[in-house]
Amino acid sequence: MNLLDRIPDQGLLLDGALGTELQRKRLPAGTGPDLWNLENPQAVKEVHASYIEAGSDAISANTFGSNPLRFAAHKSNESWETVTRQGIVLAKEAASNRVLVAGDIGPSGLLLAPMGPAMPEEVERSFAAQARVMDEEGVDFFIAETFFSLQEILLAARAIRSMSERPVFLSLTFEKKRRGYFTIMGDSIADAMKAMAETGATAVGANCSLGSTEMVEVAREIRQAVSIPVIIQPNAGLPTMTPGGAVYPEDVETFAANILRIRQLGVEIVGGCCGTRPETIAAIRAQWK
Amino acid sequence: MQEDILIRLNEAIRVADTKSGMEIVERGLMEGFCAADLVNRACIPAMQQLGDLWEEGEIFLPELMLSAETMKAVMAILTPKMAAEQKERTTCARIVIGTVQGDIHDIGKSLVAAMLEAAGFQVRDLGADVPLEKFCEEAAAFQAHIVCLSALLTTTMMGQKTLIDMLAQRELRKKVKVMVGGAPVSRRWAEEIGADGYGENAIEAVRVARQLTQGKA
Repeated sequence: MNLLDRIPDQGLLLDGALGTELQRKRLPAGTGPDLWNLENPQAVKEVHASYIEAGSDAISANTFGSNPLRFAAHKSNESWETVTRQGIVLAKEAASNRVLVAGDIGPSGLLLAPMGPAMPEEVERSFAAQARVMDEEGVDFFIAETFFSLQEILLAARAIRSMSERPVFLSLTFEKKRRGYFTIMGDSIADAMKAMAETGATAVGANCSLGSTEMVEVAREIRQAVSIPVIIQPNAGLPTMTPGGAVYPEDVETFAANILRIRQLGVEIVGGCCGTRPETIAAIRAQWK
Repeated sequence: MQEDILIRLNEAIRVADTKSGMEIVERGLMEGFCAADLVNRACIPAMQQLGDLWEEGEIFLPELMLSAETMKAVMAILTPKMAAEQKERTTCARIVIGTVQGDIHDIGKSLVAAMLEAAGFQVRDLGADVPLEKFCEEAAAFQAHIVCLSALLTTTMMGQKTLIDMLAQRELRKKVKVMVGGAPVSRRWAEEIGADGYGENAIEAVRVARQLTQGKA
């Protein structure tokens, strides 16, 4: 049976961080992780393999930063298309049909007009171009994540849908204010989740910015806002810098315990964002029912 | 009526009504306000109120950006007047700002740049993915009082430390203050690398920049 069909009953365990794992494999400071699809494909495949080994049901391809608009900021000689295509190829090779592969789409990195320089049509075209390549390469589903603007993720949803019939997961990132949780553009959890669900997305939810403890509160609000499957991927807390590099404060036990609480709220799809590791996923898998 | 000008100017900035803001300033100056009074009694309080609303979650990035535009327009009228009014200009210090090399994140840095400019600083925004060498060159060429370094990645944060060392090697360190910011950056990190200032958000960055440049021409 297709794993996606199991979501309502059995849930889905995604992977953990890609970027911070590649940094551990000596991704140089300032190199976009996606560029390693070409420069160090072995390292990318190793990270994928470690998450599959740890028990992920699905892995996200190393394509978060490769939509045309965002990729342009890297001033690389490579093309976004080659990097995206290769990212999907590597993930599919690592998965070898044992687990699902998600085409991972990140925000454009630009503010939409009138706040910033990006016109909505241009941003939508950028997402559509990347989604087309991902669809051609046969991803199992799409995940648009770490968006900080509801307006922009809705453009992504429409762009993906214009290129593919495959399932779409949409995930925003929220900040804690005294008055509650909002995107930096001011979208509230309930409004944003309902608007995303209306695009026909398979799942909606939140990732990044918050550690797993705060994410329990966010998960509760999201679960109350929509009836479709919910996706939650917290950070392992917020990093502090040490001479040896970034350290994420939440240990594996804390994270896994919070993920259990999140699942008990009725959240179907979980995984980890920045600072989570294969052992984080293994700990979640160990308590999976 | 005097108080009315201050209240209306404050309001125009908070609701980002640039046209009214500029008109009120012109009127205020005609009615005998000195520029520094308008800045200190209307503009700066408006920024502080915006900061409180931001932290509360009553307003967000779009509102803040739009208010910063109004503030910039108002300050474009007031800054030269203040310079004429008093030899010791309060907020004409020069700032070079950018996101460090390898980091393409532009949005937070641009907001800080807009708020600094709105507060009356002369700001040279170098954009994102800026080579550390370029920060040094621009700081010297612009005779900057402050260099502001943004980093959103834990990998590129190290660039903030490297730049402080580079400035020291070039004997620029005594001439220019260094401020750091960005999502993973903390006060502790700023202290560890020997930065002069840290802003958790754009509002705090303006406050810190003011403190660092008190009495500067």
